[in-house]
Amino acid sequence: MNRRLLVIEDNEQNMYLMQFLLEKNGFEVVGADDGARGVEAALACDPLAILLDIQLPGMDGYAVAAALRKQATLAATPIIAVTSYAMVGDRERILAAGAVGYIEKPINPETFVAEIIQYFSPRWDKAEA
Amino acid sequence: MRILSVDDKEDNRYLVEALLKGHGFEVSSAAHGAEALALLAAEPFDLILSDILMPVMDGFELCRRVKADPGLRHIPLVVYTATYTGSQDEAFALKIGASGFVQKPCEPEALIAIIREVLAASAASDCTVLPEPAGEEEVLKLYSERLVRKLEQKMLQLEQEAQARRKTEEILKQSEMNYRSLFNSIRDAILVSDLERRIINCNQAFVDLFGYTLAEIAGQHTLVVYEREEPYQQLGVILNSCMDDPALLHHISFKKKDGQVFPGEVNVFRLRNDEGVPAGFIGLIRDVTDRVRFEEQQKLLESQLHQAQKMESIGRLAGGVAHDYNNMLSVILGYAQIALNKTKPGAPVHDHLLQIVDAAQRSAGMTRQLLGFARKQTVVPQVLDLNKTVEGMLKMLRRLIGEDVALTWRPAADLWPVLIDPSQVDQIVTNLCVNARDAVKGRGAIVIETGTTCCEAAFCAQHAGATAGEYVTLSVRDNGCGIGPVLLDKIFEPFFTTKGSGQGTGLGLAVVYGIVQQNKGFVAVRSQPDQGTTFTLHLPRRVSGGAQGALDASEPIQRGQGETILVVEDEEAILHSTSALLTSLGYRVLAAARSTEAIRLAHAEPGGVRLLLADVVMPEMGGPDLARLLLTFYPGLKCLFMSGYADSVITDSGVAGNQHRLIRKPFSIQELAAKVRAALAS
Repeated sequence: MNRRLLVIEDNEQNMYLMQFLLEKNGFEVVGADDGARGVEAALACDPLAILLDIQLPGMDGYAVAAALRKQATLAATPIIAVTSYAMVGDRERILAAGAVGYIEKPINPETFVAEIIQYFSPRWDKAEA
Repeated sequence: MRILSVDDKEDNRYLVEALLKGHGFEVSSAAHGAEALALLAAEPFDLILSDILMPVMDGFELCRRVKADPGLRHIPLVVYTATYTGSQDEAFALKIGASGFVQKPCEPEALIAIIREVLAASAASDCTVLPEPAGEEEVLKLYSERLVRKLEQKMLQLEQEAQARRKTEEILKQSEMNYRSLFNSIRDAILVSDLERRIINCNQAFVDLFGYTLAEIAGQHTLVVYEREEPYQQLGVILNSCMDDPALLHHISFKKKDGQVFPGEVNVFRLRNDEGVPAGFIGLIRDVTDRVRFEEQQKLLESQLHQAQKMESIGRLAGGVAHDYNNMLSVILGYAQIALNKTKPGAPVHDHLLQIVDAAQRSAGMTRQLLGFARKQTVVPQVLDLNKTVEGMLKMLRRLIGEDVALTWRPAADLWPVLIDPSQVDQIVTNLCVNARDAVKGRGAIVIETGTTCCEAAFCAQHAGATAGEYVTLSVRDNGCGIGPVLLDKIFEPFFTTKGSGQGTGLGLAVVYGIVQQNKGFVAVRSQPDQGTTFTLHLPRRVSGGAQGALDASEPIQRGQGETILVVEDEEAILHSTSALLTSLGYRVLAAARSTEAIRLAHAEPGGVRLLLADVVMPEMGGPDLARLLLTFYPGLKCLFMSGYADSVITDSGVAGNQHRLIRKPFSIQELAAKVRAALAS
């Protein structure tokens, strides 16, 4: 059973927090601290979903999203953007780059997991049907 | 000097002879006047000592004849009489020639003195000048008068004596009759013996009680009616010191003719003869079998009632404590888990917290057991074939008791059905097998057996809590160390354990007791130290078609078959009760108070979770979100939500329109069972 999530995040504190919350909720976390290693890791681990920071050194989030979308094996893997850019237009831009949704930084530990699963988990009542 | 003694009584003759010979006289004796005359004719005598009243010829006649005989008249005659003692008699005697008159009894010295005096007077006198005897006619007249008077007196005396005797006889006869009827109508058996304790007499009650007739037992030693010699001898010792005390009852066992032994009470009195000298013993024996049995039964019932009351109050106490304890445990467990989530695995405090959680969880297990004993477990009784239920457990039991203990399973053919919650059967059999395993100390044999039995009222009188009727029995027997009689009373008490500290909670048998009580049955224990123990559970036969038990709801309860259900509920009390309900319904339950715990449990469950039963509103993550998260990992998972909230809240949580996936708190076991079943079937 696949429980892996790929987190692409360069900030150590943020990475730690997300990893903690996700693992606490039953996920396995694969971390990558820049875009290139993120794409590599995604190809290698076939995650359930990818949490992607936009503001990355070198290859930024938009570029990583575009690169991931080019991979046939990852075409269906949901990408959730985690960003502190919350300006009008940012949202449209990241969704256009291939993300299914985005979460604003700073994340709220209370609701973080419930929020992200909206983007990739099936609704329980839909799942039954 | 030669003296002729005349007396019809041999004793008197002997006494007089001895007396006179002792004083140097020669003595000849005659029994009456005629014999005396014959002797006088043959030998010379110096003195005649004669009684008066004698057969053949009396003293008066002898005197008259002697004095009339010229050859004999010189011999003095002394009258020695007890009968003729009147002054007229004396005068008459002297008149017909007697030389002296002595009344019997007489001091020997006085008699000798008179004899010597008469002899001396006789020697001094000239026999030739002896006065002529009185005229024949006068003498005869006087003699006749004396005789008639004597005769009249004698007749009167005899008549009086006869009357007195008749009266005495009458009284005696009456007394004898009274005694006889009393003797035979007394309810107690009476046995009369002599001083050597040989039986002389017995009454009808004795005959009825012991089965011996008087003829059979007369002359036998009294020991024959006692069971054993030792207490009989002890009784003898006691009696020697305090006999004849009517208040003193001795308890001893007797033996009937047919060998039957019975407990009795005996009262022993000394039998005395006319002079008050002990002549034997009288024993009053009462059969106290009924009373002893009644008392024993009463005592047994009292102690059993006492025991039952004790168990009841311990149960109430335990139940109350368990409930509060459970609430506190929820807090300990809850916070320990929260803290656990805030520490990293591997950190020392993480391990410490895990220990706390583990201990709290084991404590919660104990309180669950306690609630079982207190009969506060929520149960779902169903009609069962115990054979099948036990059979299903055998594999688990074999693992439980280990390879070195032989487990034998002996199911009875045609076993009657019983009404019981199968999870309770699990609990009972597991607890008993664990005890049996510990009793055989790892090596021995355990036999599990089923059977049917019909308990009579008599049997129930011996077993408190048992009511007459048909029962299915389930017994677990071991050949282990056994239980001493002193401990037998205590084994069902909660927290009573013989196992070492940390090895037993002392709840196993208490739970067995509670469960069996709850199912209107009872437990019988037989144990011999070093021989082994058998616990036999009696569960009432379930008569098919009969009314459903009190615990049955009107609609049949749908049960699980061990499917794993993950229950998530932040209110500990509800979490526990719901878990207990589901366990009792036959499900395997994973209980979590928080979503993260739920996820951890789900991941740790090798067989996978079939159903998530979660509260709708919870901190961190509500039921629907949790369901969504878990569905990510387990796409086949079924979901059911619990809610105590208003419909609007549920709508917001995404459960609206799915009322069939929602169960409202509080819910009944039937509702829960049905909803769970339906959710699993979807």
